[in-house]
Order: sequence, then structure tokens, then C-alpha cells
Amino acid sequence: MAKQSDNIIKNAMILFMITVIAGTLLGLTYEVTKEPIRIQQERLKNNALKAVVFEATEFSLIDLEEGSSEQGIVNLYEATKDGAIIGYAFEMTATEGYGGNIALMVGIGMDDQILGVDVIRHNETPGLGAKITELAFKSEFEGQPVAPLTVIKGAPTGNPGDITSISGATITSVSVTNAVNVATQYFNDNMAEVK
Amino acid sequence: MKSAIKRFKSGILDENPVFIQVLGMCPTLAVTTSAENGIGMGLATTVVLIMANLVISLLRNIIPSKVRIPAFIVVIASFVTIVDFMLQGFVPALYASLGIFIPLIVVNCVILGRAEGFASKNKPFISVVDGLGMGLGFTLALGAIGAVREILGAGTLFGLSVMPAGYVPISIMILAPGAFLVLGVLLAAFNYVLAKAANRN
Repeated sequence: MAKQSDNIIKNAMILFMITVIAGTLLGLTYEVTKEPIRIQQERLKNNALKAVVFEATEFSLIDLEEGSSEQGIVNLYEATKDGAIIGYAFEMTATEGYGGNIALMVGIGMDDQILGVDVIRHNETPGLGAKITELAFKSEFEGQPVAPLTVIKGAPTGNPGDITSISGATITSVSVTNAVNVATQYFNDNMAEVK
Repeated sequence: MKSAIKRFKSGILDENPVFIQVLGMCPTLAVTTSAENGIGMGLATTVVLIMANLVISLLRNIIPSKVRIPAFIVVIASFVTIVDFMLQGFVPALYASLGIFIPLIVVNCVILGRAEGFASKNKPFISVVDGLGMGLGFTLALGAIGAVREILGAGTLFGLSVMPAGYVPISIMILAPGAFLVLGVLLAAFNYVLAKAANRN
């Protein structure tokens, strides 16, 4: 009997050692890769900014209204070209994705049109939800009015305000569209006086 | 050497992880919407499978058999997470194409299955060969399912149009039910061919 309890303790100690070593290695890797990963993400974000407000030459971070982060607005950038404001870029977090949060960039022009949507980061299913990164889906948003958009299933209607869902990935499509709607709502509520 | 070649072959044919062992069904069904996705997932899994088999085989005399399953899971999950961080930080181009598969690999039972069924009982070299064979068998299976689904469901192969102009894609094939249909048919065909070959011998 004594022997058996010895074994349990020995087994537990070995398992404990394995987890300690694994944890230490994970921590070390995290520390070593933290900075390179941050630089990569910064680069992805900058690419997304350029993608959504194509003509802008400069982006500057501006302050958000209180409570915006709860709605999923992470950052707001003012996009300028030769000193004149040509639009805004909203960095959004869509929380209702199928595989966790989706980081998006939404560009809105001063002519009350959505200029573009780009995906910065996501964990959606390859072949289904992951199609949000494809041009076919992203371009659905281009030129849409700054008004609530709705996701429709089936064949594209071409009507303004309609976003055709990716087949098999309705949850993802709705999640992205909702985040875009939050951005346009904020634009309508707060940017009107700038114009 | 002979046993290594035999091991390698059995991963692809006689013990194919998808068509014979029917392991790793979650990524098999979810990811194979196109040939490219299937092969990408397969190759990412192969790399992890080789490394996990090597580590488990090296540790096989240290890990007590009563706590082996939690120990394997800790080793595999840590290893996959380290690979994830490394790719993300230092090889962004590869991360952009394979990164979305990595979270799926952590929960892939093919890896745990090989650790438990082979690497924990065998020497490092043969375990690595086993990982390579099983990984390629997995890649071929996923690639085949992906190719059939992509051709029928989208009319393309590796993104290139392969069907005649008038072809209307059967979109159910790239949705979830199509995965089950193609898997079932290919699984039956694979076993039929193997059984025929065995009879001839």
C-alpha cells in the first residue's frame, strides 16, 4: 500500500516537472517572439489602413468618444491627403466570429460612402469563414452607403445596403457586417460636424 | 532500413490515418473545401507530427505510463504553441498561409494517436519515419478529398477552372454535407482497392 502511494506522488512529481518545463519554454518563446510579432501586426495594420483608404498619404490617431471600446471600436484614424481630411479608418474588433474575435479595418469616406473593409486578423474556418479575406467578400462593402447594412443569403441582389453572405459562413458574414455597422453608426453620430 | 521503409509505406497505405484509422475527422471534414486547403493543413500537420513523435520518443522512458496521456497533451500543445509564436514572429509569409491551421492541429487526435500508439514505444528514428509517413498519408487523404470537393463544388482545381464552361457548380459539395459524402465514397474506394490488392497477393 505504501509503495502505491509513493508511486502516485512520483508520477505526480514527474508530470509536474513536465508541465513546469513546458511552461518555462512557452514563457521564453513568448518573450523572444513578442517584439517580432508586434512589429508584424503593426505592419499588417498599416497595410490594412492603406487598403481601406487607398488615396490617403497620412493617418493620424484621433480620440474616441467614451464607451466606444465596448462597442468594438479599437482605434480611429483620420486619413488625410495633402493636409485635407478625405476619410476615416476604424480599427474594429468583431466579437461574434465563429472562431473568436476578428480584427477589421473599415474605411469611410467624407462623401458618406464605405471606401473599403480589410481583415487584419481572424481564426475562422479555412474554406468557409476564412473567405472574408477574399476580394469577393470584401468588395461587397465598397461603395455602400453609410447606413445599416443587412446580410442576405442566396444570389446577390445588387441593392444598396445588401451584403451577400458567404455560403456556409453566415455567422462570420453577419459578425463582420455588424462591426461595419457600428463604425458607420459612429461616423454618422460623431463625424457630421467635421464635414 | 527495411523496417523504416515499411513504416513509411504503412502510414500512407495500410494504416492511412484518415481512410483506415478514421482519425482527425474534425479537420478532415472542416478544412477540405479546396485542394489547396487540404494540402496546407496536411503539410502543417506533418511537420508537427514528426516533431511531436521525436520528442515523445525521446521522453518515452521518463514519462510514467499512468500519467502518459496528460504528459503527451502538455508536450504536444506546448510544442504547437511554440511553433505558432515562431512562425508568427519570424516567418510571416508562411504564417499568413498556414497560420489558420495551427489552432486546429493542437486538437488533432492523429498527433495524440501516434504518440500513444507508436512513438511512446519506439526509438526516435523510426518514430520520425512514422510521423513522416502518417503525415503524408494525412496530406494525401485531405488533398484528395479537397480536390474532389473543389472540382464538383466550385468547378476549379487549385483555383484554376477545370470544368467545361457550362458547368454549374454543385455548391453542397463545398458545404458540410459534401464533406461527409466525399469522405464516405473515397473511404470505401480506398478500402476496396486495398482489399483487392491484398487478395492478389
